[in-house]
Amino acid sequence: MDRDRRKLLAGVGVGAVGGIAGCTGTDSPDDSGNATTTATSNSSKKKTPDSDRVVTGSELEEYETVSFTMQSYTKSLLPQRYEWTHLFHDQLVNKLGVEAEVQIGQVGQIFDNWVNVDYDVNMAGWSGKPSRIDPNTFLSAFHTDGGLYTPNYSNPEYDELVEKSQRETDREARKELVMEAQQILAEDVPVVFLFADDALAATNTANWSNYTSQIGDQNYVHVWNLMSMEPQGDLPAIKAGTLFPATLNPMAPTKSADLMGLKMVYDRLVRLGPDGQPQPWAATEWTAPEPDTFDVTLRDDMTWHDGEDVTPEDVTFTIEFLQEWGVPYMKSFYDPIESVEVVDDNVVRFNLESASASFTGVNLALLFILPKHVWDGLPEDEGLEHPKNYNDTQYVGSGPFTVNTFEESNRVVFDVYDDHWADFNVDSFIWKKYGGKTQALATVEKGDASWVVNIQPGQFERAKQNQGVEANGVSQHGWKAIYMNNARRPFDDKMFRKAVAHATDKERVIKLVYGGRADSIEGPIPPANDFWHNPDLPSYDGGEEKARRMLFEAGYRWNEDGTLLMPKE
Amino acid sequence: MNLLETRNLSVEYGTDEGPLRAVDGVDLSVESGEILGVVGESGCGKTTLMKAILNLLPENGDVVEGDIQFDGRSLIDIPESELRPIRWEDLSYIIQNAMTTLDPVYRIGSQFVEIIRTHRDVSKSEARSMAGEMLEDVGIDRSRLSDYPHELSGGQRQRVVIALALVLDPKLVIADEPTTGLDVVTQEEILKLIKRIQKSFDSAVVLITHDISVVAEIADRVAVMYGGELVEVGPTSDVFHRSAHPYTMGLMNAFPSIEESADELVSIPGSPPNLVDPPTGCRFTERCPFATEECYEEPPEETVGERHRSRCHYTAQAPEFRERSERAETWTADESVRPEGVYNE
Amino acid sequence: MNVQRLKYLLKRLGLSLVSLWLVATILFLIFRLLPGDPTTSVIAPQMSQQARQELAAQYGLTQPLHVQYVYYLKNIVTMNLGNSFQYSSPVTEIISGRLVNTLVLMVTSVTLAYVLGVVVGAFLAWKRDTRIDVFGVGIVLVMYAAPVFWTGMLGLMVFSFRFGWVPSGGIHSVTFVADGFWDNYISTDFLHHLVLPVTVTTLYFLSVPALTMRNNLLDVLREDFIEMMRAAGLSEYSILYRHAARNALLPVLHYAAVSLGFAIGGSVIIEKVFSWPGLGRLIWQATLAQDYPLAQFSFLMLATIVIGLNFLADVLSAYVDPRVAVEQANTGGE
Repeated sequence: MDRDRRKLLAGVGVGAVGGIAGCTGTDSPDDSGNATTTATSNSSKKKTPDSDRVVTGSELEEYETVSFTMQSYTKSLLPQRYEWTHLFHDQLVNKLGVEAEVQIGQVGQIFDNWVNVDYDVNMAGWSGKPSRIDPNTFLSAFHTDGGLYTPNYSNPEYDELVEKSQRETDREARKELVMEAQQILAEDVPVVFLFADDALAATNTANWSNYTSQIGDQNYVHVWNLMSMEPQGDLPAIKAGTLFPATLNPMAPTKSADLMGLKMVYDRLVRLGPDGQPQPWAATEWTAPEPDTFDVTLRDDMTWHDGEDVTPEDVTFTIEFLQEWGVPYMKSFYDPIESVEVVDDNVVRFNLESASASFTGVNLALLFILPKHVWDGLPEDEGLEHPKNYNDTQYVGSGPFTVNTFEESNRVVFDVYDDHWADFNVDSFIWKKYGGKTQALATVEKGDASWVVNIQPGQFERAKQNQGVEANGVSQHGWKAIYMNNARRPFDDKMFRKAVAHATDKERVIKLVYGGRADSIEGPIPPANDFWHNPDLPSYDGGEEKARRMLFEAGYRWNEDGTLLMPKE
Repeated sequence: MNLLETRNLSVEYGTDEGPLRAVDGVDLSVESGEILGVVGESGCGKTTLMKAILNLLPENGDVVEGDIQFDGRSLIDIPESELRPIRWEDLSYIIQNAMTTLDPVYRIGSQFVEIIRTHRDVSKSEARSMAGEMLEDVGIDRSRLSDYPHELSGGQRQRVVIALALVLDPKLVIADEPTTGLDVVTQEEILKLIKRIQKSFDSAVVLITHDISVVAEIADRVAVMYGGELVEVGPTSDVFHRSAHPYTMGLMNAFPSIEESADELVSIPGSPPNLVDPPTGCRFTERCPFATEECYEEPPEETVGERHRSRCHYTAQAPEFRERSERAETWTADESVRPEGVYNE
Repeated sequence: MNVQRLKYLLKRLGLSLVSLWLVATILFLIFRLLPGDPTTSVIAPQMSQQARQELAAQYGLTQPLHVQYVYYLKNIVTMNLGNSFQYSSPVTEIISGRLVNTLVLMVTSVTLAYVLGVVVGAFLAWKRDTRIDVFGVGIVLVMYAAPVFWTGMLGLMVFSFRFGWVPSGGIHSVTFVADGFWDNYISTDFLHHLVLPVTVTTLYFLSVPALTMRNNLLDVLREDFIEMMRAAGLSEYSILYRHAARNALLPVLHYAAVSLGFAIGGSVIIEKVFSWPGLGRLIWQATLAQDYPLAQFSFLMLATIVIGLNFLADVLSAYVDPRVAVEQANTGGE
């Protein structure tokens, strides 16, 4: 207990300044960095095992020690994760008697190891981006052919369920399949699902009111909030933060902040609502005549910022333009589209390579519409290698905002586009970058900015004390897990993985590290994603005793020092 | 009349261990146009004495007793404003170590000009031509005025420094170790130069040196200092041929004269006394091969000859001492009284 | 003499160019030896391995290393530095915008620091061994030792968060509208934002010139030529300012040029604390994101500035201090 407390204090200390020391820090797992340190916690003690579970003498020959490395990120980058990595490490050593070592490294290394499944154990997390609300993103992450990120887990039954759910365009029927898939994961425990920690934010309520929150960690930077926000007088909406778009060229995005900026200027056919479910936007409606065919009807009252009408040809052009030039960051959104055609006055048909139930909730909600009359032939005319290199100063989109000023790494001033059909109470939206969350929060507290998101627990507590500021923790759909390499011993053994899950005391960590502001989870779709979440999953709270019994029954033993042994292969 | 005269001059430095009396009751005089050599080992108070005369004592140094008369007026407690016109015009200084005596970042000419124009109401070009003449007098080409100090050799720099000291035709030049650090040939040239210049300008020169052979060459009179006191003073030939103080005799053995060869040199064992807590009586007692019990009493100042004085109890036995002092074993025989065996310099 | 000086300067110039080439090569290698690659920072769960490859190809990273190196050197020589991976716009454009912000902050601070530092140092030397000197040196040492991150945050907490006298960061108010380019840097809004960062940075950089000046001056005042000048009856003013100060100032000058170089590159923390959109942060982010073109050329530019200023300091010294050229030429440089 004392030990945990001490660690916690250290963690909170870093947490409070993490916004400064921790750089871009919050856009996990997109952060980068290099240099590695390896730290081993040696103060955790192994339990003395029951005598009947101990092997000695020549019997020892048949066993080998269970030892592995747990990879995680630096304290300055992800302070909370650094803390809970050590807490879980201690729990596993203490409760199971494993020989475990913590390896701390920078993103360039640890994240790459995760992607390439080069680890025993990797402490991983998914941030709650809007594109991840559709269940397919997280379910695919455990599909055998899921590409990156699977922990070498493979279950044909599960694969089939995921594929079926992608073909099922009926929401309720799809929901059934999604529930079932979650059930399988919860039983197979490919990873130990830990928790979905709240997105902590602070809003200034003295100068602005009527915020609209959206699930996920990109809270408040969405049109619903900008539409509902009511400022005093003619104040603009002001976001203060550390994330900032590097480019507003729609052919050049390489990070989520870029998309967050672009979506103000460039409209999408579909936008995800505050609850994360797809809402009509530039499209009034969509139908799926076949699971692999979508007919999307375009609004007819839209114009580009230069006054031209938005036409269905712009939509088809956009897809073809993206596919022709390639924008890797958006590739997964346009790649599944086999062809696109105008089928009626205002209807565009998307023919997909295969059935995709997530098409509207992911692909259409993320692809922008570009003006054909601006981009067609532009790379050739300008002599560009790629349209991403176009030095755009006009930013002609059809979105609710135009770009007034874009000062790199400082601020963007978006002005409301008067001819847009959506209504706003504000005249402009300013996105202001700060060097750290502390400064950004101070600006919100002073009433010079409307909101700041993804603050640290210490800053959250401070904001709570401040009148005129509302600190809120929003449940979100991103989550954290202990990724175990299912292809390596002993993690290839389901029983061992389950024992690890039982030995993992999540509630305690939620209390210690997150001050209770996180949802415990048993699968990849957290409670915040209400529609798709399966609330009836089995939980692993048997604790140490259950874990040790399971291990014993599965053939694991201990030596006299209390170190866990597994039978040799 | 004496140009410079010190009466019972005492100088103390404040140190962590207490007051250090670097110059103790010195009576010394310099006449116009003469060269006075002041000799003694390092730490005997020669430089302090000169700095006191020049009003250049460091912050922790102070004249505690006595008087300095220069050209008919006292230099003690003289205000800076009255002192400044005397400086260089009447009393100039050739500082130890010519290598660092000139400001490295200014050309030689401008240093001359600045000093000249501080004292004389002349134009820059006039000052420059004065400097040029002076340089040629010391055997340096006039064009060197536009050089920086580092562009000159050591001997040349010493010449420049001498020229600089003499450019305003001062009544008295104090030269502190003007030949130290120079090779023997250059030393010789510099000494000749000082002698020649002194003659032609008719300045008085006080030449401070630890090298008694230097003094022998050019000084009219010699003053020997030991432990802050003046132990012997007199005309050069008297002091050299009829040394009355054992310390003078020791010094003569310790330095090669031009004619003597080096293997006959004998240093005086030991080192000068600690002046924070000086020994009673004669300060040379501890190192003196002829010392007796009586030497722990304050020695009288004895007149040896005309203008030749010595502070020794046994001035009368000087001829015998002189003879014995020429033998090396006199200085080395009794090791037991000099346990440290510390050889000076 | 002048031939000697010219020879010396040419030699320094040659050395500078060789240093630059070495730095450029080391930069090239270092970035490619770092674990991960530029696509790591771009990678997102929706990106397949194939998309990652495509991105690497767009960045030109699929070519063999030696080909990349030749391109890289060619780019440097032709000053066509390519496009940033993250920003997609030309590196030169991105750097120049940030460089101005950094220069405004750092040149102001370093200049102030050196002017004030020299004055403070001379003052302390003048008051040597008095209580003022001891106290002053103490304060200067504390300012030197205190991490600028800490003093910066302290400054913000007191003067911005607590009293609200200065903004909490950035170069302009959120809603500032510039009236032309220069208005960005001369408006009261900008100056208001500049005050605290400049103060903190100046105080930080002040210590080196102050202490150097103090110690140099004390050393110089002990020099023989100073004593000779006293003996020569020169006025105290002339001795202190014409002679002692000029001699003491030389090493400080040299430091100033070098510090400015380091200040420009090492401004990350200051810029981060004060949300200053400057070069330091740009480089830092570019390095983290492994944005090779941007990171390499920013570092190279910094190296050029440092080496260039060093060279400039050498040139200056060769003129201000006549000994330098000769000594260096004779001893064959450093």
